[in-house]
Amino acid sequence: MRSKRSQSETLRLSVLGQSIIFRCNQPELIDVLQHNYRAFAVDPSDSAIRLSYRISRSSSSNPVIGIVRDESVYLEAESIGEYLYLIEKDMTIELQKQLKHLYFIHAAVLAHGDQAIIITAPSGTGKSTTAWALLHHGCRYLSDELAPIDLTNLTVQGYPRALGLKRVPPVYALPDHCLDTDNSLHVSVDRLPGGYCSSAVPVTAVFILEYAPQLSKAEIEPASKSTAAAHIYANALNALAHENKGLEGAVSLAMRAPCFHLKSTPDLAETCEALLSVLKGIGKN
Amino acid sequence: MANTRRPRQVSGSFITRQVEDELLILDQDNEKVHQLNSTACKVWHACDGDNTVDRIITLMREQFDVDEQRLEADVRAVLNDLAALELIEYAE
Repeated sequence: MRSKRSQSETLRLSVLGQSIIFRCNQPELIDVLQHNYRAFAVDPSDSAIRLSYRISRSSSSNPVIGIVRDESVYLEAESIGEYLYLIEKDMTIELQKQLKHLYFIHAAVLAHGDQAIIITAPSGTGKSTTAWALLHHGCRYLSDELAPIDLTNLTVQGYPRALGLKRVPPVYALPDHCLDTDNSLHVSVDRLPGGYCSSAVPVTAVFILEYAPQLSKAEIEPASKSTAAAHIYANALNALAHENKGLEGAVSLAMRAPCFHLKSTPDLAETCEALLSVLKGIGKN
Repeated sequence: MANTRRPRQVSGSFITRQVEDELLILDQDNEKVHQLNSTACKVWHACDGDNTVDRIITLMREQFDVDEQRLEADVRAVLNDLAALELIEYAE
């Protein structure tokens, strides 16, 4: 991991191979980005900058943060939480435009050995909480939000931004120095128990997550290919950039990777062990 | 009573993809993906604007060895679902 921050409060990152620069007049706003995007190495100085953000705030007591991207798009945040949200949203949309060959899914991604598992579900279902738990069971972190998939070789790229939790998890205590914004907790990648990965990892399985607190044990059942494809498509972020408006990409992933319904319970340890047991079975086949 | 209504696929901007024995229909206008099981898929394909509901029931009877009343009820239920999803309409 390398990062670079100049005295002029400039932060340079390389995200999915794209060079991004942030300039800011307030050091604490750069610190927030540094915390959230620590894993992304700095670009070589001679590489072309793909995205440029200029961030400003009149003073640290002023809540309004101005964000200008490429001197053309202006965004305004009224809190640190919204600031991170807007940067993340704008940056990932622009990355999707520039990396049209990748099929982006809203999903958490973890690696167990050289096997990547994709956990997809609507927001608020518990992807990040499940990811946080799996990091205590021998998994490495690739993302809690974004799965950029190369369908040509069925690999998924790491997008290890800070892991974001909406609330304190019931087990597996959070480390010190989490960034606590108004609406979420952000765990920097250097504090993750299982470590993280920025490179591409072969996709081994897709799990369609559903939180089922009424169950006493986690349930994992194979999903039909069409059901899995429909779920994947519903969580695709840049579907329109792909063949058949993205339907073909969803089907391709569903056909080539084993897909499962995962009903998780509040017993996160048991849920993790059930998932890893299934993964182990795939590895034997 | 004979049902001579003739269901047809709505001429929307659909993209279809057969996945094993099921069919995915991407409804671009409504930004939804519909998943049809094998029975619904056969009914959907039979909705060509020429076949009446009764004819579709006959066609399904030729393909499925199930209780006649049950089959008729299932086909009508599928047609109702397809209509509710705005995937089929009835020719005037």
